[in-house]
Amino acid sequence: MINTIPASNPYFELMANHLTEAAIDLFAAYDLRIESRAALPECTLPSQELHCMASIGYVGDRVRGVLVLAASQSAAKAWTNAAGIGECDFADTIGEFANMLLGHLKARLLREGIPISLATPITVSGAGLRFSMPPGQSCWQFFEGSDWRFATRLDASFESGFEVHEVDEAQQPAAAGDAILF
Amino acid sequence: MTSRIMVIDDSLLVRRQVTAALKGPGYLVTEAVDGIDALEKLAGLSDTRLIVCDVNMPRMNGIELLERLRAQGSVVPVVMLTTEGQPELIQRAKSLGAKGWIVKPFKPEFLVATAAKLAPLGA
Repeated sequence: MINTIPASNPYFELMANHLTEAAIDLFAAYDLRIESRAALPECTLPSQELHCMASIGYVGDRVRGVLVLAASQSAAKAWTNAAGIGECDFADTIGEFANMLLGHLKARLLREGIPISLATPITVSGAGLRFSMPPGQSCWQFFEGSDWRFATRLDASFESGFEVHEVDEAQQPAAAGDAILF
Repeated sequence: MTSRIMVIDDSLLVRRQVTAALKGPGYLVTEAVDGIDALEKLAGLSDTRLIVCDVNMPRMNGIELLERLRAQGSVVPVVMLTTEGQPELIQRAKSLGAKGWIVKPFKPEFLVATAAKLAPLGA
């Protein structure tokens, strides 16, 4: 099992590692057990199996990119079952999961001094989905459970002059699951 | 007196999760897909006692909805339910009269406790 992110820009490695941890946390929040995971340069989805892909763009200070998430129908079902919902719209489910995943990544990156803004997810579903080559740094992460499969791709393009911002401890973001009453 | 809660989110999955969590204790739940849908439905519902609202939605987002409700003089408490956790955004919602902020994925027991505090059943 390959566990390491391919060597690249250290800021991209930081982002990719945070995405992996955010995904693991999100699966854990729904009691979804990951049985294997791997980092790979490419993704090939089974051509006969229905998958859904969600993509969300993001932009920060001299960094921009896309989070792509691809999941099998069994992954969506595992998640909705874990959420206690049962059947739900495939594209809506994967879009919302991508939304939460990137939201978690955003909070993690904010704590690292890399603030980003997010777009809303776009989803598409079908068999034989294929992905275009990314323009900048990119890495696929694969996660597998007992009967589900999930993949994320983080793309990032850095402009010259990119730097990490100083983090104000008083401006730490709220964490997943936090409930604040004013 | 009915205890109606409106959940506003463009995700069907989230609306179903919130509805399932709140129907259990006995709340009546109405769903809306964004701020504009919510305003149209609220105009016809006088018994809404709490609004649970996403931030990032098409047509009208949660912050814009807060601004509109404030301008209308609405007294229905609003709790934001979102993936966002930035302090500036939380402060903005608070300044517009929101009563709380929950970061997804939410714990059903926290949502129910929030509803019990802001819109107690039978009150």
